[in-house]
Amino acid sequence: MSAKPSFSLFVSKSPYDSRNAESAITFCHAAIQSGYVIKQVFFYQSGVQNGSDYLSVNTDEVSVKSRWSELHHTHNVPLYICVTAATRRGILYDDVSKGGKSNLASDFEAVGMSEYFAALHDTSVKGIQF
Amino acid sequence: MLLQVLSNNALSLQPYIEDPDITIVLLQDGVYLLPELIQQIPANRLFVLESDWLASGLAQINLHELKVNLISAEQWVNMAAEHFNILTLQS
Amino acid sequence: MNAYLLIISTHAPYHSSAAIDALEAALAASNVGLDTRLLFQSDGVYQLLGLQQAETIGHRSIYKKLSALPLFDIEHIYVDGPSIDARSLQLSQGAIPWLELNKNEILSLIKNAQNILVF
Repeated sequence: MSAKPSFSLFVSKSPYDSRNAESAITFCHAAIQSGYVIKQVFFYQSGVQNGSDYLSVNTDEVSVKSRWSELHHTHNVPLYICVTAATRRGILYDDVSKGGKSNLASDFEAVGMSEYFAALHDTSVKGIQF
Repeated sequence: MLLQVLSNNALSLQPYIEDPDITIVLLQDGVYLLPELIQQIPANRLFVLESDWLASGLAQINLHELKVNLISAEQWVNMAAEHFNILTLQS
Repeated sequence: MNAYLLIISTHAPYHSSAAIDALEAALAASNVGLDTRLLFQSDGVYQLLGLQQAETIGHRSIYKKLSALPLFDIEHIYVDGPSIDARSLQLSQGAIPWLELNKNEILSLIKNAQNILVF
């Protein structure tokens, strides 16, 4: 019997400019509920905006920030932001270790794109784009 | 292949309509394509995420009469797991 | 058939960062040893026009960047024939070794990809 597949999500849209983040989060919860593993969620293009520490909404609006945080803290889902895309869009600012500022929320980790692709060598990992 | 359709852009979907190996799931604004697609795609290849369908306001259309499959998020995930690959279409 | 990643590039060269994003994704994937194939579809076929003078808008030529793809082990470069026809384009091979596919070949390319990303 083959192993249950796991998923690697690729989020390329910003929150509130589409519902892609919401759909991705829904997918993650349903997958975890059904016993699948979410290997990672990788954010690229304007998807990196999901990682902004300054996302702030009214109480009657969907808080993508708290939902991503919950996935990370409660279900150990790694949230990876593409360094290049994040720097380009002002989520990361130069080299934080040299005193540059970062807008990146603590639940997210800035990585190179190869982090997403290296996982796909395992053909039991299914890539899904939002 | 599982084809996820996130926008109501019917033109982008045309290349995939007739292929019996392709299962289509309508999500987000893609649900608005349903009345048109149900004429072209057999019900066993066409699915709609229930939460997005209910949010859309199209619920006055009786899907049971049309024999269209509403699916839960868990069913959507299972379909993603069962298909060889997943293509996401969006405008 | 070997497992491959298919990257579909659908925007004109300077529409947004989409063309560069697709290219950088292809390079990153190839760099970690994934068999990476690139398909230009829809407005993405405009990236293959050879006379782009990107310096006039302060950009660097996408065409020149794409010409280097084989150096990075990306040799399977495809163009969607119907997209070319729909835009009444005449595309010449030039410096990029692309192959034009018809509707059925495109469908096969997409259906057989282990993973697909669209930009």
